Amino acid sequence: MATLKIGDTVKMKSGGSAKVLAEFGSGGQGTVYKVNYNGKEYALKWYHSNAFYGKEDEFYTNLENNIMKGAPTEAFLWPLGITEKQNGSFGYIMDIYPDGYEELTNFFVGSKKKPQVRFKSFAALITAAINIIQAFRELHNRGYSYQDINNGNFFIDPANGRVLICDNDNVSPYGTNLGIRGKQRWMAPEIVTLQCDPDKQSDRFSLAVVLFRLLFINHPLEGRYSTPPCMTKALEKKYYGTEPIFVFDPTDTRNRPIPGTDHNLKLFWGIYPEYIREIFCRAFSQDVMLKRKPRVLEKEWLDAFFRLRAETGTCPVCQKEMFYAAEKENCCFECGKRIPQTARLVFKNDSLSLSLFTHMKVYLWNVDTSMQDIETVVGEVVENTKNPNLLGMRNVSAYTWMITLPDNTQRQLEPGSVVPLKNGFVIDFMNNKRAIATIEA
Amino acid sequence: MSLLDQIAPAPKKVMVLFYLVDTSGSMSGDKIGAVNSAMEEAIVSDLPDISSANDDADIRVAIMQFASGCSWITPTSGPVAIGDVVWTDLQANGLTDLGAACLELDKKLSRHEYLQSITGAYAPVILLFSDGAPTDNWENGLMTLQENNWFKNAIKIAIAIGDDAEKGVLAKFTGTSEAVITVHDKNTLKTLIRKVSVRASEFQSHPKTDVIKTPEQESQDVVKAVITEIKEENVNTDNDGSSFDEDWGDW
Ligand SMILES: Nc1ncnc2c1ncn2[C@@H]1O[C@H](COP(=O)(O)OP(=O)(O)O)[C@@H](O)[C@H]1O
Ligand SMILES: [Zn+2]
Repeated sequence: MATLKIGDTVKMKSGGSAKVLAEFGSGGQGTVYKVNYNGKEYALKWYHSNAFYGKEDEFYTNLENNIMKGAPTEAFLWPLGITEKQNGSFGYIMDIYPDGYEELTNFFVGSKKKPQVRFKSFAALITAAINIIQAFRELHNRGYSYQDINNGNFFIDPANGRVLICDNDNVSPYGTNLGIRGKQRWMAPEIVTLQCDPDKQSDRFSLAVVLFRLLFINHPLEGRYSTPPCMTKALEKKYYGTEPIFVFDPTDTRNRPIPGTDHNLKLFWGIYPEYIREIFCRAFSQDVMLKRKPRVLEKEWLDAFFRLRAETGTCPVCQKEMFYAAEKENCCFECGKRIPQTARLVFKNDSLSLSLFTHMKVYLWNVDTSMQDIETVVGEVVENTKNPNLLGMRNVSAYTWMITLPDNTQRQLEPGSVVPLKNGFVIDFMNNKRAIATIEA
Repeated sequence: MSLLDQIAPAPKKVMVLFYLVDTSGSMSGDKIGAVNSAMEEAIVSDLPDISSANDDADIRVAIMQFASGCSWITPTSGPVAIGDVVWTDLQANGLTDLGAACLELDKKLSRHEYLQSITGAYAPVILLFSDGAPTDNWENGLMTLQENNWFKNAIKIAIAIGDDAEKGVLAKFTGTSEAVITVHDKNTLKTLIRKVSVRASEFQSHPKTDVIKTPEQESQDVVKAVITEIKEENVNTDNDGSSFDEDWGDW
């Protein structure tokens, strides 16, 4: 039985059977059905029998292992149970993804029937980036690699940046490959040229492509140089494999965007802070693409995007979102008005300084990355209710802060209390003498 | 309006599906009837799916009929989005001027003609539907076409309709007999048009065994995959017995 019909049942390895209720859709490797198993509804991915490239048994065993070890984070729509083999095929069940999520592809394309999806805010976009990076960080930390990152694997809620990652069936432990190579335009150069099997390092290249496209929509390697009249397989190998060039390579200008196709790049490349442009330039530099230098680590991406999230605020003039750089006077990219420099929070350890504008949030990641926490907010800039021109920082964390005043006296700040933003005040966020920042006003 | 509301779709390369349909007299009756209904279904209902939510390529179609001479069914201004094709039933009569069709295709396979695009184009996919022997000087026409670089790089698949099709000719067109599929019944034809079009224009994750292939190997692989898929679905075996080669007349 190659395909299933509504009403069919398939036996689950762990006992019982799943009953097919409906078909969700069909892709290259198999068909996804809605099934009922033990009184609950799941999605069943049922493979075409030619989907395994001859490695059917390894594939089955690998899925079983992954099911046993469990999902690295909640962002993964992880296999939850496997079926028994049945006429040369099998499948696995996973949760059905909830409403509100859109396939990443739909952020890139639009049609009359289904308009292009756009993020509701930059905050949501940046949160999506952080969620994706963190998911792969946790996956890699567990010794896995994903091996087939592409636009069909991500489902994102454009309102809040929540992410679900599906198709986790090629995820394998270090050193293992089940025959998959990846999708054209998403594969790392060394995979395109068949020099290596996909691994953590090639995941990192593909991750950079995902992040670039989240922010800029267009493809990072597609410009004048890589657009011949007729794209052949041999040329694809050159432009994505042996001789890729980033469209914004700082020194090599051969692959600049083709005028008329560069709308998104013109819109967005310039508005992000320099450190965001820099990290993309590094990720797509010749040395990093061709692996003469290491790929950008998830930790480095997280640092950049957490900084960006802390710098994303509301323009006091037009009320739209803008990015507040700490070290200079800002210009709103929406209304073009100049925004006077704000007070700053200068961290002791990593020379990070953040602009302290109204409603600005400090994340636990900003003060201490070693906590591995991507959710928690520890501080929020608030206006004084009597005098809105007076700003302070509310301790919204669970810790009591230690504030050191310029005269070296110390005061504790309980959760819920506010410290005014006065020059020279030093905040010890965890009261551990590590996560320390000075206010400059 | 925020900058986020001003985004545009990502630029993508054009991929043109060419359909060349034999409408000579020998196709009349159930053969042309089957082609008409199969093409109509594929183009109006199945194929729009592959093009609407596709970030890999901008898939377009151009359809030509050839009999005594040849003409484009889609607007001569160039290939159109699949959803924009209005299918009008083709009538079968006249000769089989395959040579003329080759020359006309050669003219359009140019970046100044049907493959014009600022975002570039992928090598096209060309599907030839025919049932019989060409009546004109087809070899000259094909020779000219074979010099065309777009043609050289294209995926070329021929669908031989009925057993009396001149498969040798079709194999010369595709470059390999492995890229010629013979169809005996209506249902299979429908499935084939859909599957071949979908397969040939599909951009999915590659297995490791997928090294760089010649266009002929690729065409062959598409045909193989489609035949396997059809077998899996058992479409072949439960056809309604309406074989083209049994003379049951028009119905
Ligand atoms: N967990 C899920 N819940 C609901 N629908 C799903 C789920 N996983 C996949 N689908 C749907 O099933 C269809 C086929 O999925 P899949 O086989 O993964 O496609 P592809 O091979 O193209 O990635 C898609 O339309 C997808 O939206
Ligand atoms: Zn503004």
